[in-house]
Amino acid sequence: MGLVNGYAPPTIACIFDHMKRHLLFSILLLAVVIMVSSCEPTRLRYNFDWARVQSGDSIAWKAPDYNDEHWGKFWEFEEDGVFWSRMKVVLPPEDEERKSFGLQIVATASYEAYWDGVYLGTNGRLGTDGYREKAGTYQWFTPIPDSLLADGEHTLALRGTMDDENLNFHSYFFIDEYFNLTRGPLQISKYMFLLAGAFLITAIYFLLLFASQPKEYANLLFGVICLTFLSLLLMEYLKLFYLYPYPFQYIRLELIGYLHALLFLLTPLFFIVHFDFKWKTAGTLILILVVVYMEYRYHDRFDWIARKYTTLIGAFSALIIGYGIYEKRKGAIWVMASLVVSFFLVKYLPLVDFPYMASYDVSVFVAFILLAVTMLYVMSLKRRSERQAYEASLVRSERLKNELLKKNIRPHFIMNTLTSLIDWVEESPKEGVAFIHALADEFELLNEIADYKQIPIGQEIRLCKNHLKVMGYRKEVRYVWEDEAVDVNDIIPPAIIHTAVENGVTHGLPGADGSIIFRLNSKTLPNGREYILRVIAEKRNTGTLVQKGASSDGTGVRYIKSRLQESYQDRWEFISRPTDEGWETIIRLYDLVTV
Amino acid sequence: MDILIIEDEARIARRIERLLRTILRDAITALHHCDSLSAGQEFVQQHSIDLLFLDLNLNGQDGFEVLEAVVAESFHTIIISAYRDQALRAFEYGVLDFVPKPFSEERLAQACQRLRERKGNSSAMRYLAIRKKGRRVLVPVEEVLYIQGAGVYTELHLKDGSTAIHNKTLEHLQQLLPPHYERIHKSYLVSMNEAREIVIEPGSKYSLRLNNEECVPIGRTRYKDLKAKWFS
Repeated sequence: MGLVNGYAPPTIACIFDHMKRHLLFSILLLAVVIMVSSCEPTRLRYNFDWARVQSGDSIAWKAPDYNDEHWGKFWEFEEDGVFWSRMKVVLPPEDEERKSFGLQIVATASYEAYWDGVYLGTNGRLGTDGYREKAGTYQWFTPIPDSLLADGEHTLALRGTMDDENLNFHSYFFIDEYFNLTRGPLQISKYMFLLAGAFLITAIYFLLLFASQPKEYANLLFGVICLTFLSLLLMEYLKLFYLYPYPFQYIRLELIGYLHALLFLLTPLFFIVHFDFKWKTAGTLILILVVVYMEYRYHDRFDWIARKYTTLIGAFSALIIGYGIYEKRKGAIWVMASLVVSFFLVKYLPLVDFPYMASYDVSVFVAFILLAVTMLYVMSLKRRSERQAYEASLVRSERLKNELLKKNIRPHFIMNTLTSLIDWVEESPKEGVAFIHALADEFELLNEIADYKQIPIGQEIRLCKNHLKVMGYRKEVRYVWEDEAVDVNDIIPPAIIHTAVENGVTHGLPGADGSIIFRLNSKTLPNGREYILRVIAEKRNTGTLVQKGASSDGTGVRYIKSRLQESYQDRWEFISRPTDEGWETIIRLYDLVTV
Repeated sequence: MDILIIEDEARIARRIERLLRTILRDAITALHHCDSLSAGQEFVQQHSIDLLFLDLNLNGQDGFEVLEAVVAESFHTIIISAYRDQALRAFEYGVLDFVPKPFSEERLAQACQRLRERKGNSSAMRYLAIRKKGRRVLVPVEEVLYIQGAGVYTELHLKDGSTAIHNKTLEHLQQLLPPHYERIHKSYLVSMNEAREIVIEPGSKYSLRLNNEECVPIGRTRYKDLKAKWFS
């Protein structure tokens, strides 16, 4: 990706915008779909809680009029072998005759199905008579003869075996027109694919963004969150289009549980990173501990644990977002608002009935999509402010360059210099010419360095020496330059020592011998470098008038600090203070990256 | 004539000194140089001078605070500065001239000429610096009704009925103040914007009645010119 300085060019920002719209569109679509599909006639459903189960085998148990009152309601036996499950349904009287109906049986077993004692078919192969069981599908569709669809009570009896020991047996079924029964779930699944696609593109985009800016962990987290959510969507609604063998049901539920756990980890973590939470490590550790505890205690309680994770996502996110609001982070209030809306969605949306999907799951997904969109929104807010900061830094660099160039055309410098120059030319033309040369050199040096953010200190020293030469002609003071232990190849921002020298010239009075000494020392610190410029001079008796100017930063000091900030971002120190000898300026640079 | 130069650049101070000696020659009785504002202020307090050459930007300090102090004194001030854009403000404070750097001998001579001709850039002055209860106050020029000369200093009569003492002589102030300040008497300088009518009193005594009913005497010799200029 053609990213310049870590900032996305406008084209990518457009894609980003486009994707936001894409996602919003999907949500709108989903909302419409949910509304429309909830108007479709609901299927008759037999509640599996009422299924009666009996271990053993008897041909009599398929009969509709067999009395199963003494059968158990749950799978209560350990031994392998054949068992029977019986469920009853009452078909209400209808105006039209029922035709081309079918059953969708959901059960964790391989079985033969009997409708009112009539054999419908076999799902998988039963593990009886010395055969190994061949697992049936978790969902199984079969048509019912029209003759067996009269109003009144009907019985579905299953003769089955179950080899998989992970699962508890459960069974339920739907009855509807066969066409509706098989096509309905696919209708819903296409919207899930659409939604998953939106999340896939978003995930890819943010992962690529992270690849180009590896320090932006929020991008990575959001990318992984999108991937996780997408996997969750696919896992959850796999059942709408994929008829998998019943043992996979356990693995699927387990995976869904893990994905919930991952979402629980990542969502608050995203807010921790995005809102720059103060106790990052502690926060992350607590999240991990909660997951470990939950998995240890409740691993097998699939639905329950998923709901708990959802609640915990809300609770922990609310804590971090609350912190964000307290710290006045941009957009925190919006995330909190969407979290509150999500809360009510999860609370009240389950009251609406959705076909083929659990209402609670739908509410959680809608709530999470809302949260994801607000995450996108606050990320775009951050992106904007980063961009503004970047632009501001460009402006600052431009301003600093300007300031550097202006140094020598400021009236105070140029007019005083020219006045002295006139005098030199009038009084002693030869010296005057030397003065002009020194001035020309200073202009040339400044011009050379103006375009750079950093220059070798050797060049800076030449600039300082030259400036002292010019000032010597003007002030008729003997300025002496000394440098010790300075590596001329060290890199520093341009004209910062020059500025300190200017200040020294302005504020220093020559000593008894008529000279002012400027001495530059360099020292290596454990984690950086130090430069000390000592001005050995008589201090000007400044009186009350000057105190004001000295206490606040003058233009010169501001220039030095801005330059240091530009190149070293808070990894610098600037000290300027009087000493017994005169004045010293200390510049410390830390954590230098050697190029 | 006692002259003080406040200038932090040795070379420039020497140049001013050299040129002044050429321009004013024997008129100079003493010529001093200070290289900082504080030294200059101290000098002014201890010595009496006739003319001050002041650089407005010394060692990075703002010279206007000093300017405020020195314009209240009896001597005239000529600014020599690199900052041409400060000229207007300086004139508002009541300086005699503003010489921008770099300057030639001719330009300096012109400034000295103003001093001799007793003609300043008289329309620009906007404030008069006076001392009130030990504090320096800037009074807007239009607040001054008339000024009464009292030897080496003057008494300002202000619109609000109060009076204030100024260290400059009537002659010096007349040089600085806008042209509608008319010398109607040896000892009076009046703002003609405030004049209503000339009152002739018995014994051919004349006086000028101001808008606030106050009467200020008119000098016998000045009556004719005054009437011709302002009341014809």
